[in-house]
Amino acid sequence: MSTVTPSRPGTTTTPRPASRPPSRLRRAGAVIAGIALAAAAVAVQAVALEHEDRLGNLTWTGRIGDEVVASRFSARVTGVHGAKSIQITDVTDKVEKATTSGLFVIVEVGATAHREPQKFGPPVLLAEDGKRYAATDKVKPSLTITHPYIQPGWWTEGVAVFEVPVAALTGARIVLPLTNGFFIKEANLPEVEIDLGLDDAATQRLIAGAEDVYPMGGKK
Amino acid sequence: MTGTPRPEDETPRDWFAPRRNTPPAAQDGPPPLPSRHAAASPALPRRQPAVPAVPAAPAVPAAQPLGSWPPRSRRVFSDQQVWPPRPAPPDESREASTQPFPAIPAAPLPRHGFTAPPRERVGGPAAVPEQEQASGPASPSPPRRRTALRLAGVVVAAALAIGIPSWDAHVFYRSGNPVHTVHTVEPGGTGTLMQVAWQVKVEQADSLPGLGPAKPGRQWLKITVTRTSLDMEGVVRSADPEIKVKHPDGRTWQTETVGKDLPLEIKEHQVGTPYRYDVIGVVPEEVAGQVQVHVIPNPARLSLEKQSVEELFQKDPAAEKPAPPDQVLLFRR
Repeated sequence: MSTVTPSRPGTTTTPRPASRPPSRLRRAGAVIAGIALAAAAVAVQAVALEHEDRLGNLTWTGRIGDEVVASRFSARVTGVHGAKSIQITDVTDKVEKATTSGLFVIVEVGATAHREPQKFGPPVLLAEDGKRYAATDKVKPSLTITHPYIQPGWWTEGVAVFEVPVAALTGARIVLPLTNGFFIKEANLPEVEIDLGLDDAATQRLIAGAEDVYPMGGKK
Repeated sequence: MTGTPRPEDETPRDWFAPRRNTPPAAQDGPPPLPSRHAAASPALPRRQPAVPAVPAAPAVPAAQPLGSWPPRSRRVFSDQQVWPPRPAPPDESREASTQPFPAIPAAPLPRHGFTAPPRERVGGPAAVPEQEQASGPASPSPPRRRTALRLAGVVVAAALAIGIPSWDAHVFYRSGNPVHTVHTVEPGGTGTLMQVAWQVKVEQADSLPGLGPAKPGRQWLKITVTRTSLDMEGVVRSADPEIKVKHPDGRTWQTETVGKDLPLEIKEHQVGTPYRYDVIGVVPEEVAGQVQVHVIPNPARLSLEKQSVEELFQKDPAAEKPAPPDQVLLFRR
């Protein structure tokens, strides 16, 4: 039972659109806007940074021969060699031989720290297709660049040894990260990524020039 | 959508004829649904009981909208009859109520929080406030103030969203990297921390046994750190310290402890007897005379007695929360 009086002609000349319920068009628009917002929320979740992107290392890049200056250390690659096997002499003159079905890639690396002593974690060979090869465990870490402290004031030289299939060589880059805590990890540590300059010709030269036996260790 | 005409509705509405009780001026856009047209005209305070809305047109009584069961919004008033479908009132307004309240001239009511502000602006803010407060879920404050409130909310929320994780990360960082309190010791002097007296002697060595001469441009440092426990409290703090070589410009070098003559058993540790750590380090030649030794005593409290397994799991209030290693002795040269 309505008690509303009929509208007076005089007042109808200034209609108040605001008092009307939302039109269908508007309601449909609201629904579409709601769906769009929900879809946008899902899409934003999809582009959110992954754990690795948020806490992973910050990478400085360069080419072979360059001195790449990262936040806490500088690094450079002075040479790349290939080898079909590696002969390791330990301090007691015991000789071991490491062999591979692929190729050992020996990267000569130098590094210096800026303020505080640093230590490298296991280096990674990053193939052009994105595959990552960790440094081989056939060579003891004490013989590689991961062993000495990288200290300010001078360059520490060492090698990183990888065992990779020959096909992964072209376009490969070496990644040198720092060690991180075992339990408490620091986020966004610096790392250096250096292009080894292995185009097709250089790769062929590396494979052709691979030594049969590469000696490592022994008394210096 | 359209219901069948009710039996008493003798002359069904001619849907293609213009409306009789609505001035055409009130319509804008497509012909509104029957239930809507009245809302276009503001309702007036009603004093009359329900009379046929348009007496001049008895042939088509006010039941004209009755002819249909109008599609209406799903918004249902709590006091409205929903079933069986009630004949729509002759001049139905959206804001019509069955309550015997006088009708308040139709004011735009905010239906949703997000659509409210534009409406108010369209309707003209002059008429808004008292009607808003008079009915229903009105906005808490005038639109302009709410904009400021929202802006302030955005600012506060953004500050919190950035600040709280940052503060949390900083606290976490500080748990592993405490702020060091530096106690400076004059050359040849003794620094005392936690009931242990520390002394440091630095020598430059050309060659070290087993390591040979330093590489060109570098200088071996032989550092002897001596600790003397002043009492038993000093004895229980006999965990190995951290020893660093630091230049005043902030560059730090690693040292290595190559020997120490502390007794293996803490029981044999004597109060007042100096024990020494033999430490080596290597620094660039040009700063070998300037670097200073930093000793960070380990604040861990070792147990004097050999502990049984049960005792290991018992809670020791002193060992509950070890102090952070934030006290540093800086030995000047």
